Amino acid sequence: MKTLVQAFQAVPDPMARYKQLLFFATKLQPFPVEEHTEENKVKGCVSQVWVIAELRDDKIYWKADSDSQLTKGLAALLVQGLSGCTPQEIVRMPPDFIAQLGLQQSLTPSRNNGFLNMFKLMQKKALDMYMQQQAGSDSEGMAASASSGGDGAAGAGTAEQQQGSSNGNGNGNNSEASATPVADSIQRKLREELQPLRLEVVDNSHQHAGHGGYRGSATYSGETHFNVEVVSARFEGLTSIKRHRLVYQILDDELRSPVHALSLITKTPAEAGMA
Amino acid sequence: AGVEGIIEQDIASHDVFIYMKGVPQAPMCGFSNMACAILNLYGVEYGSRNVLADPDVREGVKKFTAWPTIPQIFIKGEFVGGSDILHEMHQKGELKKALEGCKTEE
Repeated sequence: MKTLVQAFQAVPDPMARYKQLLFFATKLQPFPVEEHTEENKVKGCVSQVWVIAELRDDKIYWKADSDSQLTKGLAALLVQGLSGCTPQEIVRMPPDFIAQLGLQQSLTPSRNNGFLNMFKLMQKKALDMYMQQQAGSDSEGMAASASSGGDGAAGAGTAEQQQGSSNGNGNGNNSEASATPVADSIQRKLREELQPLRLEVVDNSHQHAGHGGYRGSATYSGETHFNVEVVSARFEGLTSIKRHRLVYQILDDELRSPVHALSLITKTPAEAGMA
Repeated sequence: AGVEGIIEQDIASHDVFIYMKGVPQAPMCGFSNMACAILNLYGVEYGSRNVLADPDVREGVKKFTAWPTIPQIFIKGEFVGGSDILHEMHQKGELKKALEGCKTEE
């Protein structure tokens, strides 16, 4: 982005900068038509603008499209300036560069506003990717799609249901000593108390290996960090914080030891599309 | 007790306060990291306390909120939840509302 800003600042007059912007529009890569969705659309922009993000080697690469040449140019500018950045870099970038580009005189207030909104959508998408990286870079692809917030529910549904039903026959607790006593206990208690339509308990302890709580318990089974997704009618009418408290209450013993991190996704059947 | 007093002071000192592992510039846990990332996105000014540096506070805040995990986020003196809830609020647009009127970073 810095090089782009410098390039624009080097252009002497506003008219020339405007032309430069239109030139940029021609440099946009082709955009897949199926990505013309509401989710990819910039809100609060006079023209229609769509943006998508792709993660490669921990860096984001952008594509954009618009029905107007001017906004295409603005979008292309952002695409070029922000591609090859890590999600963190984008999330943490203040919008100063917008003023530094020196385009504000060439654009109407609504165009300026639209440009800022484009950047904001890109930051939001970068943040979503950042959080997917944080929460779900493990081998359990299901956990990743589940924690990316709800839309994954339909897609990941079949696999999770298979897992859920195989444990739901009460086979989760073997009569011989289990290698995963804590996970078993979590599943058993949540089933008893919440009669879930879907329950997924994933042990993420290995991801947190190397920080305090992982080592050092006498009955150490390494089961210290879990991702839990529950779909239950018992959550109806409860705020998120109340739902989480309910789960914490049920799992009070486990949380005393050894579990000290519980990532929770709590949905009612309606919210999970299972009503 | 002394710890409760510290907590009361903390959450009154800033519009937004987070009990976390590590510090905002260097979080020591993925969940704390995520919570800070979200708060940074909104550009609000927030106070923080590193529970790893203070085991009494680490236990104290869990008792205070009857909540067993870190991070814990307070907005305008009120406990809102952990990183999952913050993420959810952000996705639903509720966080923007909750942060209305909070001081922003200059």
